[in-house]
Amino acid sequence: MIVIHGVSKTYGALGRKTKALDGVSLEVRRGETLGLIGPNGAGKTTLLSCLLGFLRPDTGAISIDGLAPDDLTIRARTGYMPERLGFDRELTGNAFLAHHWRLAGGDPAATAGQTRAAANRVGLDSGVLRRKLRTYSRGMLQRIGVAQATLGNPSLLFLDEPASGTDPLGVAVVRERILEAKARGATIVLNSHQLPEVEKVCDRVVFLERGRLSREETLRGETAGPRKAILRTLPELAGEATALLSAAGFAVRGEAGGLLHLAAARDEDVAHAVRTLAMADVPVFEARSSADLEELFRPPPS
Amino acid sequence: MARRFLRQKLGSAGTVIALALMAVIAALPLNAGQGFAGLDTLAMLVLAAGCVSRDAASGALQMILSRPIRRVEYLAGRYVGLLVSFVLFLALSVLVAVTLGQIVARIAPGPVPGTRSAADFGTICAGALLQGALLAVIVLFFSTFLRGWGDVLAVAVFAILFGSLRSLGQALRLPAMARAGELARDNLSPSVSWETVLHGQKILGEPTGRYILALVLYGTLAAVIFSRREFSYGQD
Repeated sequence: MIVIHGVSKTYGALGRKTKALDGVSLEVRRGETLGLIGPNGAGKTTLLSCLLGFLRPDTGAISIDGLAPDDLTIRARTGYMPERLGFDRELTGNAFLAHHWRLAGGDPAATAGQTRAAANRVGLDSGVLRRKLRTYSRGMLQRIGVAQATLGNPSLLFLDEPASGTDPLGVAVVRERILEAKARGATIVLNSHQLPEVEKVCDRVVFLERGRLSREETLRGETAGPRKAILRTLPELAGEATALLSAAGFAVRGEAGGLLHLAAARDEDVAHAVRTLAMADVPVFEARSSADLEELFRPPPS
Repeated sequence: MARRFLRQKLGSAGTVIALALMAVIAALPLNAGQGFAGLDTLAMLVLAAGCVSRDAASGALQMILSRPIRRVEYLAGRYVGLLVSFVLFLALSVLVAVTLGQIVARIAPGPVPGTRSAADFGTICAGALLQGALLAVIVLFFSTFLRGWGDVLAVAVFAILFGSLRSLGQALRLPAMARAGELARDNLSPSVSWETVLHGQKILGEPTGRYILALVLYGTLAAVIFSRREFSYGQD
């Protein structure tokens, strides 16, 4: 379990001080996938740096399974992918992964097998691995970064914008690797601006704003909050559908193309709405619900 | 870590070309029995420039430090890599010097200049390596807290400062200033007559003691500063 208690961090000196973190307290349960979201400059990367032991909090404390973040036993089971990929560009993909496998304390005899398997999992073949990293595209670098972070199946994963700059297939590959780690029981902290991806993999998200943890949203499990739902019907029946759903007690808003937006809907509410329309012979072609993470970025009404 | 340093340096065409050129140029003074004529110092500076700071700036250091290795292990690896690459430079210089000496002996008319013995080359290289080891740890020390190539710049500035303090003190007839410059140079950047020491004389002399103290001082300071240093990466 990761415990962050009253962590504050200030950069700069004398008159030019910037408070990057201001009394952040948070717990990440073992096996949980936590999303860190917030606007640029909110302190997400600083928090991740503190979790990795690169930065020391000015006040407060962080412990991972009761140990300091920079304890070597914690590091032995940590996988980390930075946003800025600081790779040795003259190394081949193979040499890079082998280097990190050795650094992670992996069995030298298993180096070739493990690195090949990690690369295969992110869709990099042996031809690509023989090339120097300086010839890689941004998307390929992201993929090898993910392969590096997941080498040896670490039980703690810290990922900073892992899918940034990748094509849709790359995004899916990154998502699959995160879900795979999650299924294995790894504790994951994900910092990302790609809200749909955050929603697909995270159990919970916390919203950081000016160094403070301002909001929190549970996405999965019994305590999951209400989500927004969109139903699609025939455009000419949208008015009738809106009236039916309003009469059934839903807060509904119609939109062009036969789209109906249901606010604050739980999964069972969506099922009830679909059933209500179906019983009135109003066809429903599509029903999807998602957490409105974008809403967290909007300032609360004054 | 040492292997990674060697890969970085030997994988850089610019560094390899610069070192090869210096090895060729060093062949002349080496054959003339004048040692490396300062080219060893230059080669060490080329090799050591940004040895830690560039890793920190690129973010590679943070990726390494997220692994279960101690910071001191990383520093030690850089230092060993630096020394091994310097040994390669010294060996290449001697190889070029010997080869050129033999070519000149074959094609030059008139009396053949005496070729230097392997023992001579060995002594010169051992002296250069020992002096290089101190320079390497000084650059490493500065690299733990300065950015970019600030480490090499700091070494140059300090060398100039120590020298100029002494000269300035003498010119201004300020013996205290001259003495301070002399003390700083002798203690913080000590120079040992390695040829004498390696021939078994004055092994336990004052300069050797200062050399060992400086080596330990810079190494310890580098380890302490680097262990305490914070590293941020990326942007929020």
